[in-house]
Amino acid sequence: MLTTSSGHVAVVADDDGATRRILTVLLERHLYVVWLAVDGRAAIDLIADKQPDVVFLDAQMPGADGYEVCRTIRAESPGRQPWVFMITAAGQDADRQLALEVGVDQFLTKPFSPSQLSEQLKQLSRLPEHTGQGQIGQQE
Amino acid sequence: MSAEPEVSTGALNLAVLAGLRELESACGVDIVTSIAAMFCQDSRTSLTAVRAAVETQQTGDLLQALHKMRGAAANIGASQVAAVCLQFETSVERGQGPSYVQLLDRLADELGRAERALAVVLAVD
Repeated sequence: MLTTSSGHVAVVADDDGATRRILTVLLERHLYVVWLAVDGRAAIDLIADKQPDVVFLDAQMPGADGYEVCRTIRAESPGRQPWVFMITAAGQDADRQLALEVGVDQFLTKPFSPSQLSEQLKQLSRLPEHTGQGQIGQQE
Repeated sequence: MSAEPEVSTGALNLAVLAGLRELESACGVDIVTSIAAMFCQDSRTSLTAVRAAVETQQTGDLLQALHKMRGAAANIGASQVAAVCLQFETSVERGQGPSYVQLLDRLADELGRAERALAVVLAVD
């Protein structure tokens, strides 16, 4: 755990250290408590344990990829659901379609804009609780 | 989600670095230097893995190493490295084996250019 709390919790799951670093700094700026995982299996356990408000998943990581993790979250979490951002170096239509199918809310292609992501985090705080339905979107 | 717009035709996409600098300033913590160091270290490891996978013809390992390198390059704005990785991945997916050695050489060259450009940028800062 890396920051002071505002009551919001985030899980960042990515095997790339630079991505974890960027997202941690950004989320801490928005006063999230940030928990980190470096593979998909650890992410699933962490999400079940911490019940985060927001989850960032690398599309391709060891153990279980981001799609499998998201599918698991949506299937296993009764009631309250986290907002799920998927991060990828790829950005093909097929990737976005699959992300939508497993319940991803936002699809981020590297390099993503910290300032635009910051705006999206602000918007999240004004939204009602997640329903569990994927609401795919992308930075433009 | 779209990538940052290119404002540099050189080894680095300066808009990406500017975005990281903005976050760095807002938060008062180091980001660019630490990420640049991670990129240089991890990319050398990935390049070694790419070279080994080409030699052993392990397609899965090759794609994995290229994808990892592309993501790391994109994060720091090493756009030419990322572009060569993508071209390399496409060649692998199409089974264009004869092009691998040439692409490996280009990848090593672009990685060197990116590292030198980052060193200049960080020295100026």
